[in-house]
Amino acid sequence: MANTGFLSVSETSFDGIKNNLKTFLKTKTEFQDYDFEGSNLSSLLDVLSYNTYMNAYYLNMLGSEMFLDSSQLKESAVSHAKELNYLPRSRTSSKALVTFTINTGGTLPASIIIPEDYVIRTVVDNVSLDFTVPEDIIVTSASGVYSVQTYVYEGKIVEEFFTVNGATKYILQSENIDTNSIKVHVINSSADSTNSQYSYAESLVGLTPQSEVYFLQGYRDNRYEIVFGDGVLGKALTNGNIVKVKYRSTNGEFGNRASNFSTTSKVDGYDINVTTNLVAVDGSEREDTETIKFYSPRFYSAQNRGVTRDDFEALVRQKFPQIRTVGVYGGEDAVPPLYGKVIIIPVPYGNIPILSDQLKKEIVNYLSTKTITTEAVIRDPEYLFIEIYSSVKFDPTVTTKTATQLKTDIIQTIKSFDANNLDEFGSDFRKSKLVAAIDDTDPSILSNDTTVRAIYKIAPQRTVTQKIEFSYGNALYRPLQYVYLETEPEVFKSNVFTYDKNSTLYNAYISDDGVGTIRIYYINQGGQRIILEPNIGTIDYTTGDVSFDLNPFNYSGSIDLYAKMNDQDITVKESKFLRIDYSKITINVGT
Amino acid sequence: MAIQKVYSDLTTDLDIHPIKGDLTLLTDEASVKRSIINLMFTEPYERFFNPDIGAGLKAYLFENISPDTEYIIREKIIEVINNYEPRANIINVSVKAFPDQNYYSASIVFSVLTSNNPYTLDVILKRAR
Repeated sequence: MANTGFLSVSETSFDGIKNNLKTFLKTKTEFQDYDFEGSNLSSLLDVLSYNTYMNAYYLNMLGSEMFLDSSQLKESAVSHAKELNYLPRSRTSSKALVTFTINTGGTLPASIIIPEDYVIRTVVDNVSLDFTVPEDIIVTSASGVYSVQTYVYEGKIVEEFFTVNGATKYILQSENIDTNSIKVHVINSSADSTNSQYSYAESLVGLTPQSEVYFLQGYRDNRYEIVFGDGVLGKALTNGNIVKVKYRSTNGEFGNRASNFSTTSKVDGYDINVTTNLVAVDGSEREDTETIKFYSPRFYSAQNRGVTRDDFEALVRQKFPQIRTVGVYGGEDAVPPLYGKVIIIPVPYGNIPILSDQLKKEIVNYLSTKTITTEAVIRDPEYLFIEIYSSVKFDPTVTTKTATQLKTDIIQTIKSFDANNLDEFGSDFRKSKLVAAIDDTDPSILSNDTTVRAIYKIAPQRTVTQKIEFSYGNALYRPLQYVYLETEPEVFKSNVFTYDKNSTLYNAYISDDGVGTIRIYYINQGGQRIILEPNIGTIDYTTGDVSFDLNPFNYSGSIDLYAKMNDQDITVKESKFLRIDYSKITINVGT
Repeated sequence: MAIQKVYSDLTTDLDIHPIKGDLTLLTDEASVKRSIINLMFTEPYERFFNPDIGAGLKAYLFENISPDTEYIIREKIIEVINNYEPRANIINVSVKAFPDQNYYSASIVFSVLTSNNPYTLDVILKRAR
């Protein structure tokens, strides 16, 4: 740096700051040995530089945390979200549908009450989990049988008490809280147990000085605080009141695999059994910092009402933490069109993303309070899966890895590709990118020859004839313009399923015939295709539209319909979700 | 002709000059001596963002007094001066142990770059908790 006699202020590193000071002192005749590290002056410069450096760092962090966009700490993001009236999502308890059956031993009481917070227990991965009943259930006799079906929620019940001494905010201690489970009671005093239940207020609309409500807002990283009214908007607390807060402290999505439950105590003195109707679902993790930063301004712009596509997406994502991503499009774009409706396609977390019917109803009910002109219609995501076959050549002289290790790495690359490129509605599959990703997996990989097929999975009712209609949405590969010869591979073909033809069961396949007709055949012992049904429907090679009637006798899991695309890229509409089927990845590694 | 002061430094105590009222300066060989003493009593990792500076003698003062320790202390002193005090040309460094009194006496003979005059710096190295 030029020796100008002025102190430069552009450096931010410790060494830069110290060098600036040295350069400045170099111009002063009194201190000509400025840069010898042992000198007293050097020690003073160290302290001065350190102080300047720490101030610069502090100011940089302060500047960063002052804005939602650049904040790094979750605490800061939560605070900024609070300004936008956005409540970061907590963990939610997984819930299972169970049936309680009470053995009264022949007596016939008028009713039996299964109390609120009654605990049943299960074990997941050697971890004991509690599921609780959310409220009292009154069980009455039905022909002498005392039985009731209900949802139970994972989590341990926590109760906190606060004595009011002027404060209106109370911090809840658990970071694993499920905010949907919060129940607040205000007890008059330690001497007077009269109490009233306060309800959660999402906004100030309709509140009066007598409204017994509480507000909820984020506090620090993963905790929450409840806030009471000031006597104008919401009833104010008085000194000596005791606030009782009860909630579930949950393990989130960890509880989703729970399926076998056992009871922990008798009810009203009677033995009680529990059976599982639906395994636990809908448990989810708390919202992370990046998601808060992304959704809080969008939620604010939605103004808590559903008008545009983004509004519905923000509302669903904010309210339902179980939802990983959501697709939204107007009913006018549906096939057939549904005017005046909005199609919501929620995709929950989990390897097998299935949304419970109850959650679908909750979403519809919630959205109905946010719009009066548009009816929300929930649809399951329409998945189109991809099968991958890749033949990879590698140079063993430039790597210590074996072919098996490389294969493992390549499969991991493909999974990462799936997560990074196909994790949203309407994300297209670009084969060239996958091929490049496979090549980049390891420097020893010389080339790869990769082919893909689209898979549409159906799970039709068994022994019932039904119409199957869907579209691959892409042109299909059709090099031949005539009916297939015996040995030629089909463009469109299913996996094996059981088909009943004249009371004889066959291991059958669905396929096209090469000119647009869909048929069912089986392969005899001589390896020949024997046609069982010559024409059950049609396939359009140009549009990818498929339509056929099917009456399967049985199948395992699903019937997978494979199709080879004309273009190796696969594009999808907003309503579809492309995923690579991890069980359909075949990698051959050789030299 | 007035002799030009080449090297200068502040005193450790930041003493005030009794007449000028300004900070007292150490100049030439005095500033170099002060620097050498500072380096000898600095421990590695003591300085901010510069962990290498320092002779690291403290650890050896707690060792058993022996000719080997004498030798190591001498080498450490030479090393730190060579690395961090380029104004000093070392002429000789001697370290002598006084086991009964529990200290070492280090004598450093050096010249500064601006003259060939030898200067001697005697330092007592005594362990202190």
